[in-house]
Amino acid sequence: MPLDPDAELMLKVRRGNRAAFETLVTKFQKPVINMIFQSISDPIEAEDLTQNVFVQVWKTRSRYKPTAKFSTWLFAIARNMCLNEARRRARHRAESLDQAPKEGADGMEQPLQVADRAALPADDAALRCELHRQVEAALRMLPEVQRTAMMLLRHKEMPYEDIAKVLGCSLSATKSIIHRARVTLRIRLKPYLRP
Amino acid sequence: MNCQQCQNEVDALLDDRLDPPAADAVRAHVASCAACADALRDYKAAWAAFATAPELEPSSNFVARVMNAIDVVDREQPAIRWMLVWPRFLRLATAGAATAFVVSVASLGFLQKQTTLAMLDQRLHHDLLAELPVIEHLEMLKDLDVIRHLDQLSPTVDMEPIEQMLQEILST
Repeated sequence: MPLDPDAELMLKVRRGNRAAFETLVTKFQKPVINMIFQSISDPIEAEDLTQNVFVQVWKTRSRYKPTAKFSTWLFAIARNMCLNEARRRARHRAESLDQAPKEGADGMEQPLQVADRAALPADDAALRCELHRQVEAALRMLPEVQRTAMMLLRHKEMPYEDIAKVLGCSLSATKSIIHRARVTLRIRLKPYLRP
Repeated sequence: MNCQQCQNEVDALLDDRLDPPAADAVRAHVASCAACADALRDYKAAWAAFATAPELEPSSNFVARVMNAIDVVDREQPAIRWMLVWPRFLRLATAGAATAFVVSVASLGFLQKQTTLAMLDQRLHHDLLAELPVIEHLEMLKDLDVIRHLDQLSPTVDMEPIEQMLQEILST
């Protein structure tokens, strides 16, 4: 079975090849920073954490085994770092990574407050801008596992099997997570989508 | 295909993971079901909005920053780096030598302890035997009960009753 090209590069990195490492950083910087940004919400902190992800890859390069795709290994490290950061913030009583949906007095999640379609700006560009803002807000309201699955799916449409490995779930559980995320996005974005 | 089956296949259809006959079956159902057609249109639109949303761009010097960071890591951990670049056989040889050293030290300690114990044991036997009373005519007493109790004797045991018993036996 031919080796994943990124895994081949990573095998060079394991032997201390810095040029190969630089190639991998250049290739994966954007998907990793965007996956982290959806959790952190702060572009500067997201970039710092992304840097830490790649430093961690460099530090643990000797442990890499080309049994799985490099991207699966990389995103699993990125997700672990996001979760650690969330725990650290929770310990320090800082703002949570997950901006959890506000709950009503009965403990139930309140429906997303959406603007009246008629009140939306008529201008196309402004409408698109508003839609993107709502996409970002809807994504942040997803549970961490659903959000991560969607971000991984967006990244070159990663196969479900690889997403399952990153999430540490079974394939059927992963399919269910993706479906639930899609249903939520569809409901939340419906008022902003063109008929 | 019913609506539930259609809903189950929506993700695979959107992600182009359905084989052509299954995709055709979903499309055929959607063509004849307004509710599923609406749902599929919404799913497609939501996915398109998500997939085309602008992404965060890393700063232009991000890669250089990472490379500088790993320089710092390498400077801080020269010993670990040295271990990482070592050839595998050298690492195995070192591990083997270290293991052999530990095993040798442990074996030497064990042997020394065993020798000391053996010497002590020998000395004790010698001293005890030297202090045991010599009993003559053992061959005559081999069938008597007293023989069976000899091994329980110690130098501190009073030998007088035994000697009396022997005298009685010899006189008869």
